[in-house]
Amino acid sequence: MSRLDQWLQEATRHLSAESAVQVRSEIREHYELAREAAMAAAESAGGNNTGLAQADAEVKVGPAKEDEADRLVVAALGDARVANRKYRAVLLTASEARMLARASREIKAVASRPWLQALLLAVPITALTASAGLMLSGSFAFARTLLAGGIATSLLFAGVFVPRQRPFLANILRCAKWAAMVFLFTIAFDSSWLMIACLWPLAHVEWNMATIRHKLPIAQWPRSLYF
Amino acid sequence: MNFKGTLPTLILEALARETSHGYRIAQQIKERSKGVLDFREGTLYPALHKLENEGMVKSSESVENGRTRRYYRITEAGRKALAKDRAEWADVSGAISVILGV
Repeated sequence: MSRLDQWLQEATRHLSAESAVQVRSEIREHYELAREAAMAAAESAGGNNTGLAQADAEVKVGPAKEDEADRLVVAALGDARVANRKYRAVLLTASEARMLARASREIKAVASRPWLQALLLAVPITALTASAGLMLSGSFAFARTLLAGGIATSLLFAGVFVPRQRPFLANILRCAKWAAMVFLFTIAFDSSWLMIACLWPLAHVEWNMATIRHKLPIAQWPRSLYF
Repeated sequence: MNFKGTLPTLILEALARETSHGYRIAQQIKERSKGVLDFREGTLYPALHKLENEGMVKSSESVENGRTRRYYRITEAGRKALAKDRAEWADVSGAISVILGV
């Protein structure tokens, strides 16, 4: 395995397949240009037989052989682990890509079935309406459970109905979603430890989705990222 | 010299002069700083991706000498951010110069 391949292997660790292809492509392109420049400078310096030290300082290869040029060009890329850390902060990791693909698959499956969309719309509406009715009749305990169920199913299914290409609207809806989540757990649980335990998986998913939103330009957002 | 945090600004400055590819941007920064600002070239591309995600730069591929290259160009948002960074840098460096008496 060449030095560059070793560097790339480390730099693309835990990145999604698509991100890794992108990194390999841009670093190889950079490497080839840097190596060509290094070799040209070395030849030029060798031809003139003067100013070797200057050429060495400028392009960091001087009259080095190909192997030396390769070593220095890869060294100029820096620590592959540092690059990997920086790449993981801006490109999708393998786990994020999997999460995004799963969410997109689910939304596509629902979006292609109008009867399922109608059902998903009917469930929270029915729960919320029944909850309001029970509250009016004085059955607060059951009304509270139904209200929690209605909010939970609304949050679960709303992503299907959020229009795409409306980032501003999506921002407002996401804020409403987070407020609804806090409200949901406040009414559903009384003990705080249980609330925190139940919030954790949701918070984890939300955190990952927020990270993915930062990594992708809005134009590339799939529907699942809008909510 | 460590110039942590200023790489995105230097990239925007390089791109404000001309549309360019990663290697050329790296060379420009090194040449224009006369080698004082040296950085690990592997960290240039994550910075470019971040700028692209933020809408500061746009990239496109083109074929040159039979090779596909990714070129980056600054956007209007990038120019505004660069102007803001320039003003902030002038303020900060001016203040530090006064304190250090240089």
